[in-house]
Amino acid sequence: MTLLRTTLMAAAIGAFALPTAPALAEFPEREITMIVPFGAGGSTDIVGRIAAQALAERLGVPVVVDNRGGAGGTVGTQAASQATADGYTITVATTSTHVVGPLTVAGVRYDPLGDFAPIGMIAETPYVMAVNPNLGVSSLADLIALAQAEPGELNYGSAGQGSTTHLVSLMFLAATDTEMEHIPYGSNAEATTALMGNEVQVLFGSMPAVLAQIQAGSIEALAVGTTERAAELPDVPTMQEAGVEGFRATLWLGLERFPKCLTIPHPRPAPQGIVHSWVAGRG
Amino acid sequence: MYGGSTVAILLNLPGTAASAVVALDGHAMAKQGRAGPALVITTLSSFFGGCVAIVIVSAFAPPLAQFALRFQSPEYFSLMVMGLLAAAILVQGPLLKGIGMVLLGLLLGVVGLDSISGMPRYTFGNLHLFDGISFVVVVIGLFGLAEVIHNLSLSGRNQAFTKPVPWRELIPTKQDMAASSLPTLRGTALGSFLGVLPGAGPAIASFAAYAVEKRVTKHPEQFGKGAIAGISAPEGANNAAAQTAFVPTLTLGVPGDAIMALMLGALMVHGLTPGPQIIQNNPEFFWGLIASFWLGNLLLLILNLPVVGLWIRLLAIPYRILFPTILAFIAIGIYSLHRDPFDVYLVMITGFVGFVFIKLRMEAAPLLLGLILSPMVENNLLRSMLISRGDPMIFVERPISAAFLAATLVILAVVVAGSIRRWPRRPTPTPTNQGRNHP
Repeated sequence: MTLLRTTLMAAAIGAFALPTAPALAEFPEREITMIVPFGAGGSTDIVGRIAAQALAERLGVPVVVDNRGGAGGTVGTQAASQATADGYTITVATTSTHVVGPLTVAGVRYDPLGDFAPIGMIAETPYVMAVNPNLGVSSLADLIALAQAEPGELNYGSAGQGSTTHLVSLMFLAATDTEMEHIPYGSNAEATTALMGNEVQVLFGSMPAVLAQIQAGSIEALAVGTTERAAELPDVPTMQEAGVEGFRATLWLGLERFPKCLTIPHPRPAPQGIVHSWVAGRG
Repeated sequence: MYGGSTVAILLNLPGTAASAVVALDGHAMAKQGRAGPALVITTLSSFFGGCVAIVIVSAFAPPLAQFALRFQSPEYFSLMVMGLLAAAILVQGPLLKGIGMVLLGLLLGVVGLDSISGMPRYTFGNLHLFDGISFVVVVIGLFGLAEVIHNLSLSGRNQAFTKPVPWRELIPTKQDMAASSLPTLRGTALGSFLGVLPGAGPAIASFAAYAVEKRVTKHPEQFGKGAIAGISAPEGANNAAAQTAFVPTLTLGVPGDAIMALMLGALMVHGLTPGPQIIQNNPEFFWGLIASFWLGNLLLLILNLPVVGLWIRLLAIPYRILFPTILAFIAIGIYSLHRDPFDVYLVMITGFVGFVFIKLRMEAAPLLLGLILSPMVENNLLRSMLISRGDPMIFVERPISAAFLAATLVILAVVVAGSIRRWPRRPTPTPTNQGRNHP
């Protein structure tokens, strides 16, 4: 899928191709386990597997993906936080596991900042504001005007209560001073189906979940949440191009781009040497 | 879908809701020494259901997908209400017991994060329960483990189960084949239709197919005791549904369940974007997939039929050796789900509960459908109410939804009227039977 290819940040992974310092040359002497805290086949899993393959080629040892899904990624991340901090267990951290989960899921027992050391960013997923074509709006300005004329009449979908798609939508409503009814679904796929069936009229969806439907014309993209246009949708304006000025500032804080970041768990005190051996190649 | 049925029939160890339905009559047949015909018939019904559904997928995928899109929250809710009633019907004895088991399943399904409010319910702060009680744990406990405990409690009275089966008895008789042909057809039709609906289709299809057979048959009393129709209809339905489940995945680009999500992921890794355009843009992929379905179904036939005899030999193993093996496989299988000992403890609990159910003559199958559908019923109900801004008329104002609700009422009326009409005239073979079937 082109999206994943283009958004995979070669820098983080390519780093390992660099000649390593002699003292660190021995580091990967056996296989590395990569905990993916979501089920097989999801977007995090796909990105994780692509990264695992690239890492294995560069490090010369197998990188085994271990899917530990559950509770919005917190179950697998909790397991990762308890792993031995020798650098042979790494995990894919996402906005869900390291920002939203610890804030919203009761019973999370890991510290997203203290228990992990970041290695590098591997992927970013743009969010796309999409509408059902029958709504009869062709621009973001039209949508905002319609939502302001009929407050609370339109329905917007999300991948669940407190999911990133929900939070981005709330940001949009606050930035544009509009009201819509939130209809939560169980997954991005369900929310996309509901948009196609016109059960919801608006969805601020993640790019992988809506791209094929946009390209086929069964839903219509109005704007992308990134500060630059997405390569996959060159004709779709960004939020600020479409006139939502306030959105840009918030985007810079990180809600716009949802990083999937490789982290190495390390219970305090952090064994800096091992983190260093992972990060060192970045120079 | 087929592999699950073999173990379900032989050892009463179903892995899916669909094979739990097949286990009802399939395992009863195995106990009567008729495991051979049961396995052959499930293979043939599976093959037939699969082949018909493949034709349907290749010929009607785009219009079927449009039909699936018309199913929104209110339609799903009404369909599921009908499916749950169908599950309640399939029990032996009073309808009330069936409804009770369905409701128990619905309640168990409530455990976990509430998807509308995001609040954890009945999790006791345990992260393992946030995603709810695992279906596989419940089905293995209530069926497999409970069966082991039950067999051990009979101590030596399960001789029929372990007697060697002569090879000539492996082949279904002409009566068997005749008895399975129409149910397979009806099951396939139901399965092809319901499989198109993402998420709920295959499970509901098996239960609905079984319930339909139990209503149309002249001998409903044979169901649960080794009725051929009780295995061929759900098996045809679930394999047909497994094939038509590809329709929304391929043509809408939205995965219906976890397996389909895995398929989508695999396609994306290979640079293919499933979606509305895949049939036009990648015809070689689409027809290759259809061809692989055919091959898969054919291989199922070729690989399974010759080894039926071998599977039957499994039953000749003395139970004192077989049961520790079953327990070990249960423990390993359950642990490997999430690599979590918690699931193993949970299966012990559900196994004991299942034993109590057997003693009380409560059938676990309706509970399973309740458990699977519980989150879907609740979410679709709440979403419908959000969309209608709190007006319950949404369920009767929409034609498809209204049709399902009407069908539900008709089924309920027929069942209730039937039991009221039959009751006073019912022949009573033994005095102890009097009053047991009180409606």
